[in-house]
Amino acid sequence: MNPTTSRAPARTLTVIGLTAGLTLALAACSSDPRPAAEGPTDTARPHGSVAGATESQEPQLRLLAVSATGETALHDLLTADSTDLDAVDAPEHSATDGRFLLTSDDDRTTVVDGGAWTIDHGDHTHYYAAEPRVVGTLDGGGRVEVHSSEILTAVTWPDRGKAVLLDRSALGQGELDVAARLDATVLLPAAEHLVAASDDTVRVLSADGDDVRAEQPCQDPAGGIVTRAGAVVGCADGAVIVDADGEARSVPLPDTGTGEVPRATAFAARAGRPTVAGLAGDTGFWLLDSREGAWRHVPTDRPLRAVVAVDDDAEHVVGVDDQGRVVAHTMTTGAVATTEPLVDGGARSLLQLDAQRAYLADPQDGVVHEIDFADDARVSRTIDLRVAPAAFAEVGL
Amino acid sequence: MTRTTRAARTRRAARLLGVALVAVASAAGLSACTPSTADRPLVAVTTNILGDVVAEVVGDDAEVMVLMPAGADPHSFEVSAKEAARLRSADLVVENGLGLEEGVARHVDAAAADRVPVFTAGDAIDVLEWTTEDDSGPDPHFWTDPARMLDVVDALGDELDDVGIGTPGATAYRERLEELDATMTTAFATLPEDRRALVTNHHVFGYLADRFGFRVVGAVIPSGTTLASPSAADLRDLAAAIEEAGVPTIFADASQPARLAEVLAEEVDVHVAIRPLATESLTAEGPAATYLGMMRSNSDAIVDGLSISH
Repeated sequence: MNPTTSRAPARTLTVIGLTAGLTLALAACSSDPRPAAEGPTDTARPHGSVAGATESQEPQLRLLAVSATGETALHDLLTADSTDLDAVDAPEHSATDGRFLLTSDDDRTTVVDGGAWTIDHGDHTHYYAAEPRVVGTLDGGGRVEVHSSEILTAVTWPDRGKAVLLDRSALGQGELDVAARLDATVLLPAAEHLVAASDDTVRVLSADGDDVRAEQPCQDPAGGIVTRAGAVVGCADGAVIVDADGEARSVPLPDTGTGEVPRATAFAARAGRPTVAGLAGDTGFWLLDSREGAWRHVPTDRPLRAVVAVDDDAEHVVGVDDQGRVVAHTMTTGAVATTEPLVDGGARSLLQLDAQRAYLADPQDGVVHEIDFADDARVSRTIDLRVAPAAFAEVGL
Repeated sequence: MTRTTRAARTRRAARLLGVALVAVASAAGLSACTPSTADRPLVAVTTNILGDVVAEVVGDDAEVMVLMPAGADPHSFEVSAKEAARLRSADLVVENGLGLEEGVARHVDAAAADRVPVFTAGDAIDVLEWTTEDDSGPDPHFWTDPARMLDVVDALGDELDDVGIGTPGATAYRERLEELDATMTTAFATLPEDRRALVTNHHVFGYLADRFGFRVVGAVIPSGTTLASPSAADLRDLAAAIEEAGVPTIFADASQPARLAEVLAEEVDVHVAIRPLATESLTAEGPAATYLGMMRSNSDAIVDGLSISH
């Protein structure tokens, strides 16, 4: 999520290592063709549910904030209640998948469960709430990224080219089980396959890691996101998109006619939406429609420090500029609405959003500005967090 | 080849993990099956709606074990180890099918693998499809149409005959279903055609709409986070759906329905009542404690809600 960090160095993907790890974790148990008939079990659980979780009628939206010294607090956006959680290691980097917030320093990475999440089943959606908690710590630090499917959570440290796969339901029950370790700068779990990038290649792997189903060239892979329409990996000249059936295709950047425009090295969008946004250096932002495989470059008046695509009917895109103002673009009309400066423009931009509101955290004042981006970028609420956030996530998405 | 839905893919992947969990639990030596103590045949039913229907049909001729607790979500309820064991020793398993019972599918598979006959209600009906902008699949919520439930009861009677379980209640229950169907037909006929629209965030009324000539207008209820400081923009989509449908009541689950109605009136001058409907689960008490009761209370709510003047 940090738009200003340097590009990850490429490493060799160790497919053999991945295969070995996953075989131990997942496939070893499936040699019996009907193992479910082995016997009853108290541990049998349906998808998407954890002990102590309750299902709700609407997204259980919460803000999770960690201070520069590791104090951790949760703010419930529906009830306006705040809770303190256990302190974590002082964070230098962070990432979220909409439920878990990962923070890291140079040596270690901590996983915090925000205790709220959404599962999209196409025709219906489940919203869950459970107790938030600090789950535990993984060895290895540095810049971190996290992406989850319903059953797997992939943690990547792109600067080191390392990644791990975690059992997401175990994670939700407070257990940090590493199912596999692999060498990758981008790792994205989809329902039926994994998408791993390193070196100059994107590989589509079977969910059990046994097979490489497809390979697609991708120079300097950096940045990835999973949408309803597929998994996206950023490349020097565009992106590789892997669809739900595991088919990979390259989508080169278009010629903007305005000279060299920097590529995107990170992507952000409202959870699951097919159109994603990424910074185009100081020139503005890129939009990528991952269903159509179409790029669009959108120049901005001021350089942006963060950008997220809402991908709603009005095609809103929300950014933070170098003066700390929230900038809401309405792509269908071309309208641009801007707030007053809300945060220090030089600081790292802590921007999150859902279908209706964007949240910009102020690391100095310990407040969060709630922005109604569809209503002329109106500041609808200013929420007092208990800590001044160095790491920040909206969860329940 | 038919297109695989996301839900189906997820279920397959979840089964992979479930397999690992089951194998680990078995290795740890959890107890084996508990034998049934009843001498009556056992019918195990996944959902509580079908559980009620099966109990009416078999009467005292069989014990009916319902896996889904009252008030639970059919997509994600849990099964205890004891229930999972009894499922595999049942004389018949009755499931909804069409992808509804994502959480217990592997337990039903295990029973089938043990040669327990499985009756899938979804196989007995004319199936509708749901579609969204990028996915589609069979709609499992057939029970909102009493005529389709009649089809299920007929097919279930044949299946029970095949496995040698009596159906002393079938004739009487059939009559009550036909009566329900007639009552709903008459009640909905009192609504002018242009009022027959369900503006709803419930996703289960496709079959009811198909049977009785309603339009379903999907509505996105704005998040509760917006109600603290709402704007017209928050309500635009919902207001447009309500105005297009021209109805005085919407049928929605909302955490703060009174507040939502208030902001709709204040921000966009849309005046509607907001009512919930019973959808996927019977409740322990109240009108939705039985299938017939749930259907009657829903049709009363729909007729009342759509009859009031604006």
